[in-house]
Amino acid sequence: MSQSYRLSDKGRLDRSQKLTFTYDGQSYTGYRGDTLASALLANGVKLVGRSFKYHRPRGIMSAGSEEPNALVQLETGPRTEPNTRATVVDLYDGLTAASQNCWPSVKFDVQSVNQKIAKLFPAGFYYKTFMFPASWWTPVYEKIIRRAAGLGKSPMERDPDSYAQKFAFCDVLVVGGGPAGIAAALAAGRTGARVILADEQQEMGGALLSDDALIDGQPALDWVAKSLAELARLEEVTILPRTTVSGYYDYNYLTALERVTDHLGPQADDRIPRQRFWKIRAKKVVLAQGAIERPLVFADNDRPGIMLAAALRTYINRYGVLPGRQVVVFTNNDSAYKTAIDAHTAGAVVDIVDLRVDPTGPLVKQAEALMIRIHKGSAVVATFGKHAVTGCEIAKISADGKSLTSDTTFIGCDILANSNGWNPSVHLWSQARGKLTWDAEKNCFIPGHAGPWLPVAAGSGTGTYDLGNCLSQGFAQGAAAAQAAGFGSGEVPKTPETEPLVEGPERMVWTIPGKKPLGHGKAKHFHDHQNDVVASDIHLAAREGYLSVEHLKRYTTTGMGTDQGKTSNVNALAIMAEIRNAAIPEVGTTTFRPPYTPITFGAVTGQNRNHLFIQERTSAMHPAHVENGAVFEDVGDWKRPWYFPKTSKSGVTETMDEAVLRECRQVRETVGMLDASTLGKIDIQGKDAAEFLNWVYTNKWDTLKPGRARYGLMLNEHGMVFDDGVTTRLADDHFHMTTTTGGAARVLGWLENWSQTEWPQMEVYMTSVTEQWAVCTITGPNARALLADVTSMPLDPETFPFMAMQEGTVAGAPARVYRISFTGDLAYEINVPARYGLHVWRALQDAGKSHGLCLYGTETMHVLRAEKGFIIVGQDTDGTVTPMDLDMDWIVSKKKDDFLGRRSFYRTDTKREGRKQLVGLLTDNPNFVLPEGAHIVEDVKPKPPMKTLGHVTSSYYSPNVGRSIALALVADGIKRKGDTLSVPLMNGHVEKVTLTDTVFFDKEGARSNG
Amino acid sequence: MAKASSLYPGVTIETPLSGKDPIQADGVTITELPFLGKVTLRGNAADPAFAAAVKSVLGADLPTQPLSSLRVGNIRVFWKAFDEWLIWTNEDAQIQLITDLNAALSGIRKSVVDVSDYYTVLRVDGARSRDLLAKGCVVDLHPRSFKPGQATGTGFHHATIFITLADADTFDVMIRWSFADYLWAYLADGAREWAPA
Repeated sequence: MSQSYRLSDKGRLDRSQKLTFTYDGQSYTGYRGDTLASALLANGVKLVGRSFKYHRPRGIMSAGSEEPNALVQLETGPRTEPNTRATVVDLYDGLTAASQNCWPSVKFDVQSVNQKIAKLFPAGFYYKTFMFPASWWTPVYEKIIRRAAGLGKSPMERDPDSYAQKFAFCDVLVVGGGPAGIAAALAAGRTGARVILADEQQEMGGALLSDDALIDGQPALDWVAKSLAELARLEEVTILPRTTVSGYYDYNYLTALERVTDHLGPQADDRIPRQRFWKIRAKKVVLAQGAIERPLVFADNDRPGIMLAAALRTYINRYGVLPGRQVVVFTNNDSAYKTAIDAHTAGAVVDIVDLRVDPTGPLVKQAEALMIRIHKGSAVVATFGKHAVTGCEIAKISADGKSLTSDTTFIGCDILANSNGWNPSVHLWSQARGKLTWDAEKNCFIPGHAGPWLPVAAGSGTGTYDLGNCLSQGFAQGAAAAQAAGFGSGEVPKTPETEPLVEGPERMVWTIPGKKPLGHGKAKHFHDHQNDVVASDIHLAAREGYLSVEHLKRYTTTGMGTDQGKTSNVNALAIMAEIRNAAIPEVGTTTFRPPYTPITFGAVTGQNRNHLFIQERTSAMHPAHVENGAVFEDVGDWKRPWYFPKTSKSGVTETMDEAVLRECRQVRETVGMLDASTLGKIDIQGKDAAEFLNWVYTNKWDTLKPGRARYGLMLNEHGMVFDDGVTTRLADDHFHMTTTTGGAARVLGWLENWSQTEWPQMEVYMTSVTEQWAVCTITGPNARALLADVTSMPLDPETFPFMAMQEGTVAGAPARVYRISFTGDLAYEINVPARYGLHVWRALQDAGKSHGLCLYGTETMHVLRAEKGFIIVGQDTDGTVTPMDLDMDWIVSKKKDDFLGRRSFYRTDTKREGRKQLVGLLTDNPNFVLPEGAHIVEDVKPKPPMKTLGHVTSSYYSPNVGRSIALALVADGIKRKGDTLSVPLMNGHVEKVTLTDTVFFDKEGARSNG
Repeated sequence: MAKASSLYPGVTIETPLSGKDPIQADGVTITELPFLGKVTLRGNAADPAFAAAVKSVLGADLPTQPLSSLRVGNIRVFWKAFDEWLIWTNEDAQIQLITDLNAALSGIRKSVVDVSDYYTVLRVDGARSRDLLAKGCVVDLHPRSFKPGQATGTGFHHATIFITLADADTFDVMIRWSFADYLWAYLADGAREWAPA
């Protein structure tokens, strides 16, 4: 079977490049230029898979991206790709593919028994059968369905290929590289406009690649070649073959998948991306996607060897394959006659079965002249063949198309080509919110009212099938699009000479009658081959009340799947319209959604994987943290040192608990150092800066002296705490604000919002300086001595008291040192421009050796602040907490007339009894650490629901207090201090807790003086 | 690039990309422009006193057209918003500039902030610079729509960047310190397509 179906004199193949490939374990050959489908047909392989539901043998139905049947598993291992349409896979040497949804083999498939018991699998079968009990759904039903109704298998290994994205811009995007698209690109490109011409196939030319048309008396493909050469010379024109425009989004934003190396097969070197995902902003879009042939819905119309008429013509003319010797062409229109004529010319025995009683037109005459048998007023009413079609029965049908009016006649055939007319590809038009119009003469939906971004359409995608008209439409739309984008005068290039298309009318018979009434007997009229939906399912849906097209789709699964109903949707609508006795447009269409054809996750992801999946923000001291063996915590996008485990001489590394206990103790005993660089920092300048701060903080700022710092709480309009931090007055008109790490951007936006919209008269500017400054925080009893080793600044408490700032040098570098503390111990926050951060950190680490310096991370920071009852906004507060709820009345100024949030303190809800308030918790068992989030109740019941009084917000074991400590928000907590409540846990344990003050350590606050 | 500070003896200074060698691929190179001076200037351009004071320091009028910039000697001034400009200087030259601006603008509504270490600048240079940047930059960098001297803030996947065309095919991209490694890695990965085998 070595390409025995190959024609010697036809096809756009490079026969000097013989390619070897493997299908279902068997080796075959094809040529460069083949698709997998054409190569399989050339080798006589018709059976390529089993259908989705009934496991019926299936073959190749189309020659393009609309293929519903020939889905294969391409390649193996990490590169395996399921549900690949054999019709769009460009053949390459070494290609390996296998059929899907069959076991153990495509010829002997165990589940093909489903065909015999098809009566048990009506539409809506899953909904009806797998209903009760509901608890069986996931463990039982889903597994059964998944295994039985399988498509391909996903790869289980990492994708070895690379992918890329490309953000592109153009004046005119032309979708589709057939005659209309090429004409549009030429007209637009000649104006100097930036043009992108994209086509999904390996070669531009569209339908002309399968045709023998002439343009200006020369083969049309000469015109294609000449035009492409001209486009290639135009500097601002980009030609993208193998590129499917997959989605049309708002404001002419379109996505396209370019298959860069797929046609070459797996690449050892992944430097060139396998696929590139284009994100295109176009000023104007010309849609020239062509049309897709519609199949006839007749009895057992799914056997391998039954294919669309134009597909057969493509295989003959473009790929040089005549996949059968005896061809039946079953049609309702003239276009299929071209297939019959070409098959006849290529050497096949051809019968035409034409639904029309009296077909006329030049093509019919031509067929008659070639002595091709034409069975007029007839239909194929039955087909035969187990693994491929071997013959069919035809009969005359009645004028209403509902019944047979003659005995049947058998015709042997190994290919049955059929055509029910054409559907313009209106997918992108519809995605762009354009309306569709039913053309009653051409029996198809065509672009109607355009969507808001006004794309234009040209060519057979508008229902125009005459080549000359396609060209002139393309030229006109291309020129107009360019002009609308600001290029050219709108002058339309002259359309070359072509032979006019003369065709007779079609005869529409949406369901071809069979030998038995629909739904009786074994014959099946498939309209959706991919989802195994048959015409009788539509009748069933209608009987059960699913009349709307949206219900029909969901009930029967029509139009779902990887092909999204490209060949099936209009047939389904038409059948439903007949049942409802309604016009087709009254039934409506379902929504066309992106992507037009399946696209890989890899391409959508592009480079955004592995280390580029998400940014890892690091501070200037990060290299030192890595050297010091830090374990990192993700805080937002930041990598912050979490703790610094030590490894003993015997090679044992501390656990997190051990490291944190050690760090907590040592900070309070000697001195610790924390990288606090990530804190948000905002530089505030202007003569009204102090007044501005008076408004945004609850306390007073105009009284703060330069060189001094103050802690502030920021409230939203509802009076709820939303950020906190220490702000320092650098000069009369200059402040340095700090915010929480996560709140930096939010606070800056908040300040800008008030400044710009409410108080534009205030002279104040805010500038983010978060990353300008690297911050080394040293804290603990030895902090002053350590700092004294690396600075000549005066550090005595009188000159440099708590809540003060000094400028000078630290370790030789210019620094602002803030004496502020988040641990309650003596602390200095040493701020240096980031370029000096690593140097200063290392200098402090060196100097710290003689002071017992210990590096600590965020976990120890949390424990130490909790020992002092310092809140973390967002952990101990949740947007419903006022300063009073935090027992922080002291920070709410009584001397200011107003500040943001103040008004809300007079709302009944903020004044009421019973609000949740921040308290400390001590567990009965001093070693028991409560889980954060645990609920606090008065009355413990055997199981929930229990009335909750609040929850634990922070909870740690504190080595410095010598027991566990926790903070919690508890209803009326402040006046309930001393009460004992209960914390029932998931595991049934109930821990008794006593409500206390929030300060657990150094209650008098003496330690911050050192 | 780590090096000894010329201002503070014995002090080593770093950039977020210290230790990274330039990336060279066919048609595109990526290098860091380390330690550029960077200043955020804010004020009311419509206030003649502000405009005159700034001009007395810079020697030129501030650019007031959106996305525009100007070059005076070694200083580049970028329009960032109607009341905000970004100024790039040679290394350490921002210190004197800030002093001069503050002096000239004394008593006038303004803000002058040193942001030299908040960001670093990557230079993407070469015939393929646009192809490389198009892998993540969401503005149109075609010569027709993005001209020398033009500058804008925009996105590059997860990062916020500020990009300007310095010369025909030479882009300067400003990136926050903490995102510099991410952007560098992204561009390096993107340039593999043209990397020598």
